[in-house]
Amino acid sequence: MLETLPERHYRDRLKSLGELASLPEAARTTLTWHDFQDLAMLCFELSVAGRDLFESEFRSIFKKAETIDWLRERRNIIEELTDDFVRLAESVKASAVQAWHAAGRPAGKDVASLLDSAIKTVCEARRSVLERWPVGSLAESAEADAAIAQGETIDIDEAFAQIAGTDVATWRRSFQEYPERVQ
Amino acid sequence: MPYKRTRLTRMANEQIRVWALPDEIMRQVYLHLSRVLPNDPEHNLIRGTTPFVGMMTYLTRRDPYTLGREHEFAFQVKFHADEETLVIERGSYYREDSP
Repeated sequence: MLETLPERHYRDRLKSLGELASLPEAARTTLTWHDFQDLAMLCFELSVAGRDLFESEFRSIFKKAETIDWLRERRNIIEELTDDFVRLAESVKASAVQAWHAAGRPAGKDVASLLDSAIKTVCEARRSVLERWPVGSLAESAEADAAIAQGETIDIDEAFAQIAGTDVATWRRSFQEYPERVQ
Repeated sequence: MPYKRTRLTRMANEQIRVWALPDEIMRQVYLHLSRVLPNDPEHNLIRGTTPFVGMMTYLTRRDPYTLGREHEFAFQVKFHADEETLVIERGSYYREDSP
């Protein structure tokens, strides 16, 4: 799967943070409370960057006018990056909790809630962008194919007349001289 | 090869309704999907490597009432098995305001 430069850059940032968060056990025990706060803050920054990346990918749809394959690839990558981010944030949270327990301290709620908020930001951005994406998931596409095969589609005149709040005959009539007016 | 008609899936229909487009822009979208596209699919459809999964059609329209505003659309289109109908499966809309 070919990635765009912003996608690759985001994946590199995820990987870099993932390496910091998955230090060997011995090294991890040396991480201080402040280190975990920093890791959580970096995760949060990455969640905002992820949201911005997904929105920017959405806007690029209209500038690039690409094929359905390209759109499907972007869709898959948005799914993948979200999953990678959630795994990373969960792993930072687990490491932080483990470290607090090892130190005999109660878990820091601020760090946990910052990470939960980061996860929510990225998941919500994915949901919002993919809902507006012009190409559905494979399951959605299969569902649409089945509906089309069963004739569950709407005539375009009927659909637009309904949206415009009029009847089909009036809608069609309104276009009799329309092309001349808009050209 | 021209197509005789265009139909919408329920999803595409619902999406266009929810966009709540200005009247003039809605008419432009209708014209593109119901006349321009079926009459000249070759020049208005972007095909991928596997056309059976669908193709894309794009259009951008300047808002006649708001300076610097553009309405941008992307629609996924499929050929119906009857070979006479284009089906709009799903769409995207973005309203861009330039300063």
